[in-house]
Amino acid sequence: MRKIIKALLNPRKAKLSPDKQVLRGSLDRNISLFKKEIFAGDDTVVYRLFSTNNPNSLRCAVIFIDQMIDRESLMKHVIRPLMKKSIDATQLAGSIDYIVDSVITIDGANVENSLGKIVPNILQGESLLLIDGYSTGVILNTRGWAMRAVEEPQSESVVRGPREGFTEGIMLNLTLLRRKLKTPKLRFHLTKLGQQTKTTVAIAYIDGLASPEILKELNRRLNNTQIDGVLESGYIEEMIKDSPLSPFKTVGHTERPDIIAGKLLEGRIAIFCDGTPFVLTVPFIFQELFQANEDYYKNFLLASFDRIVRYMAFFITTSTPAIYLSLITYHQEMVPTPLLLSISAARDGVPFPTVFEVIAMGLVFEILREGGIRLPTPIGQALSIVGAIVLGDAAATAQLVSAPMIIVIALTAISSFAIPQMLGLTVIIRLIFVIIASFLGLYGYIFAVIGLVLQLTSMRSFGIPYMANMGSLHPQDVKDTMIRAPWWVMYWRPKFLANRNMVRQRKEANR
Amino acid sequence: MKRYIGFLCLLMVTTLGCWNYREVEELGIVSGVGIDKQENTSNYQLAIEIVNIKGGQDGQINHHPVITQGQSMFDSARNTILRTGQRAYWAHATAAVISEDLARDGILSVLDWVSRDAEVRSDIWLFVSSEKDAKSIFLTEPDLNDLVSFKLADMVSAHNSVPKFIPKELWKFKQELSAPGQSPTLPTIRIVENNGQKVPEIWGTAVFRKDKMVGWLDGLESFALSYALPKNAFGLIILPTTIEGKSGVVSYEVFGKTTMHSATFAGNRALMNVQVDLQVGIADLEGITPDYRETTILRMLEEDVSSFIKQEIRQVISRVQQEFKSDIFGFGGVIRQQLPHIWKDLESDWSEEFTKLDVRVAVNTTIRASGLLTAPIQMRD
Amino acid sequence: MKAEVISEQQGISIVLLFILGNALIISIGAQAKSDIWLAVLIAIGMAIPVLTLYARLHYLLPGMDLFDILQYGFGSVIGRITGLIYVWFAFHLGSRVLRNFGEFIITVGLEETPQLLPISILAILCLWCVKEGLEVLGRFSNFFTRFVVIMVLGTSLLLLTEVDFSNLSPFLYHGMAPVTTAAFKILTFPFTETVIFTMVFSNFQKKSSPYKIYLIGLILGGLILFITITNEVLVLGSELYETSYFPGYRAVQRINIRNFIQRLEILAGVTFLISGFVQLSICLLATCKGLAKVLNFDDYRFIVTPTTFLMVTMSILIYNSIIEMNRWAVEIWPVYAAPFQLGIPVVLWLACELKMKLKGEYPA
Repeated sequence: MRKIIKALLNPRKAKLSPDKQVLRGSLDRNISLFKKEIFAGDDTVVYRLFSTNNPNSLRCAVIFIDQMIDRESLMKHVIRPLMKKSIDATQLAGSIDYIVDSVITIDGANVENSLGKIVPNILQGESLLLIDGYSTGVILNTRGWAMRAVEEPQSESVVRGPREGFTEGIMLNLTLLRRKLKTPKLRFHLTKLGQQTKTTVAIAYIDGLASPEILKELNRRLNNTQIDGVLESGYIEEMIKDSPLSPFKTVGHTERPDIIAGKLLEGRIAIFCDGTPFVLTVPFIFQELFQANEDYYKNFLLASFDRIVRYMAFFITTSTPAIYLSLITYHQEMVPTPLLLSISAARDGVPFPTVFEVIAMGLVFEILREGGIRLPTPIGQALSIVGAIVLGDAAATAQLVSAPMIIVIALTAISSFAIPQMLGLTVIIRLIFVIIASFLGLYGYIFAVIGLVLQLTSMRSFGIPYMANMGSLHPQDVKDTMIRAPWWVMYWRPKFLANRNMVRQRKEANR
Repeated sequence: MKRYIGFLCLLMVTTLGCWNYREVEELGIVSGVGIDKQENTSNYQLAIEIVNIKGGQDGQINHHPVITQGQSMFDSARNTILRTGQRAYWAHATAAVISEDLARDGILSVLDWVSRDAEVRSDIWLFVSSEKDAKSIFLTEPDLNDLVSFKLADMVSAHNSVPKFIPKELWKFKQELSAPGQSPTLPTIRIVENNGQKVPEIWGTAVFRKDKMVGWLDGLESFALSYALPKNAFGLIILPTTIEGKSGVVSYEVFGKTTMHSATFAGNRALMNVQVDLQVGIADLEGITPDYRETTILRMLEEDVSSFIKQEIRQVISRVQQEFKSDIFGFGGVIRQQLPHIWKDLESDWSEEFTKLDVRVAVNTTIRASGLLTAPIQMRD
Repeated sequence: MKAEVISEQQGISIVLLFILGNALIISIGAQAKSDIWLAVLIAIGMAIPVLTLYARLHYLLPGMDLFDILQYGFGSVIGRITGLIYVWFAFHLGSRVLRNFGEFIITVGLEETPQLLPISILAILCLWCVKEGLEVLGRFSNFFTRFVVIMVLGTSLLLLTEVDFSNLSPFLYHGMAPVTTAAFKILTFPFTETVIFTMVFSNFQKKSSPYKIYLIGLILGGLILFITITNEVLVLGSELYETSYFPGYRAVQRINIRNFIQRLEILAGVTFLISGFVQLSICLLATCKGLAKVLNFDDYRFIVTPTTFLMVTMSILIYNSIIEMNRWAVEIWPVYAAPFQLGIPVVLWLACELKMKLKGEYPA
């Protein structure tokens, strides 16, 4: 079924199927093969025809795609030697290998005659050298295109810590990681994903730390993905994640090489994807949502405090609206009298029921946030001013919403920024909490919390329980969850991950 | 699983109705209630003070009690809807004032609903009105933006400094009512003039036997009562004193007070010991200048205080024993705890036995401070 | 299907929460009056040998749950019949727990809400949990234990200002008889209700795990129960403790520190809901597992849904009112539960020991 649809969508491709074809002996026929059939109508493909110098001039052609190659190296190392050097006709007889061995000086050159291999390489920025009379061509490694420089990632800025971030080029990204982990045990496995995009995907892990079972499972899932295009690692993430319907992410992502290095050292596996600075890590468990790389660079007391603050922020951002709602519509007896009176006074004259107020204000805030994200900075500021004045002040003065509600929403919003990893997620949780709380008050809220924890405890990421360590009271497990213990007591790697090689450091060495 | 969540949502939507969902501004938040018997009927009449805030953000509190009647407490409470359109919300009520008539008839019928209903909290303060009815308390005029009930609650929270009444929360009252060898008391409220305004004042104590009120103690007797009870009480002790031929008034401020009740076995009768330890400071000297740096004078002053308190306590104990025959001191409970075998004999007829109980009072006073002055202010020509 | 192994920490958490469950909120052992603390301690003491016996059954026959053990000990037919009776026991207990929940929520908070709604929501959550299996429940309990313990001990701590030690004296005023009766009642509810775990647990990490799980769970749970109940009596006095449906709730109401930390009743509700959820899930799991075992099904998961809805119906039908419910819990339950919790297990244990000795299958 799938195949038929594909064939209908791409009739030409189905008819031609370049995988099966091979190069011919004649240069003209080969060129016309590319011009008329494979790259028909594509004006970005360049065909450079030239002849070798002596003793007998051979007609040659280089085929490449404009701007995808490094023209300088093509000119210096391929075209110039061919035109300038004298080529021994006897050596050349029969095989093109002589050219590769002795004439052209470029570092990467493969002899190939199957179009199925040649075409993808041209599409990735390599060049094809054809010589008249030979039915094989040479694929030249001339890749080179404009790329963004290594910069500090905008989505994860730090006060203290390295300022470099991944870029869109996978090879550079792998280099960035390699520079941090100078061990021969660091392994990269390259594969290609996507029938059309042929995106390079690299699995990186440290041999001996990463669990072979997880590696096997990851490879199985990657091999099972059938998708036409992978434009961002998000595609892979959704294809391989556990509990695909859950809003919680079970695959981590980051733009920072230091984070990836740290995760690999804990025994995790990273997945690089060409064309995006976002690198995935598996397995990913709940506690990682609350970790930041800076935790590991600064004083452990401050880091632990920050972490506790993040957990609190999670609680506040998901629960305040629901708790506020249930307190003032169900459990008025639990609010201290003066507070209740002032809330009652503030609510007096507000036309909407509290539930509606909570949901509507929450939505308005989400719209503001969503609107602000993709706007240029100056307009974004204007937006926030409008939001603050229109919502914060005018709406309260006009008695459209009550003032306590604005405080609640503002608190919720601020807290949600303390855990940027969960920005979208908290909205969903909050909404569910509010809706159930509007039926059963705080009891409903507790039911919802039980449901949430059930959902979390039933999830797994690559076989690892999602809530691993969260309930444990064992000191070694607590060290990196609620708090960040000082480095000199983190003797072991997380035991649920790297149970083959637990020792992170020797006790005696630091004492 | 998703199916069940869907089912759940369906259940919620189809059975829709937010049963207990109540917007806070729709509640008539009750701050206090005066409970009377309606004249010539057996009906109850409640004066319910409802906090009525109007005017949005900087609103004002409107002071007006709602008067309702009904055949039972609950009935009268529900009838507020007929008068105000709001359902009374009782969880924030701080004060309940009960009229003397009701208290004399038996307070249990009033308290049953109050403690059975989940909405009324058990930390509500109970009072007995010493005016003709309870309603009149709520018809006094508190300051602007204040309510009688909140005013009463403020007075209660500061009562330690003026122990002329013994505040009682509902649960405490019930506990005393149900505890063996203990009778409850409630503070009483009277109306006094202040600058031409009528304001409520908590002063004195209503003494109960079982759930029926049997008599009053005035403010000064209540003062002695709070010294006789094992609870915190501070306040001032004002004593006319004569030293070296001169007489004047000395005021002492009490810093610390401990009262210990203990039961001993003397002969074949139980004997109660009330041991009071006082720590006081000299707060005010008027008319005399005793040189309290002298140990003898200091001892004398201490002795003065001790004998005064002792006498007051004895007086109130004997009055309660003779007149009211109600063990508001909890002596029976002490005997039950400390001499359980004796209690078994006394238990059946405790209210009679109580009147015959021997009580020994001992007071020990220490003057600990004298304010900022090391000696009386010196006068020289 | 893969056998569900439970770790020691998770097992202890489940037992702990199970013991606290309803007992935290409902008045138990009230007839001991001011000596209730002693009754709790005696009950813990009596529960230790009983729970050791349960653990012994697991130890003797690893990888088996109660229904397998019954069939091993009593033979296939009688084993199945007793198994069926135990299924009823778990089912009935689950319905009772569910009803207690409903009554609690309706009485203290949402008096106008139909009881069916909170009950069904809770039941559906349990249904979900049971479908996920014992391991998830273990992780769930492990996660919540610390919160429950902190909340229970925290409220006890906050109540210290309200404590009146004269509420505990005189010691043994009514003699030892009411204390022992109360102790027996506390033994059957909640301590030896843990018999239900024998129906649920079958695989452990280590061979000695069952002893650890039962005994540490019992002692921790008993200790917390002891602290709370003593605290409640200290605060409320034994008279009020006896006349309240939910003394735990009443006591927490009393918290008032400087007019700031006050009105914390909902905390009592939270702990009750969470531990009750665990209790209910265990009952439901036991019922379903038992049914599957007795009727020879491979998997219990497909009967969870009908069982849950039956349990909801049962919980509504089981009592007419909270008054009846309270009477059942206080008067009838101990007598009704004793054979399930004490009688049959003892006989079963003897039968198993004998059989193993005869067959020479004694574990090393």
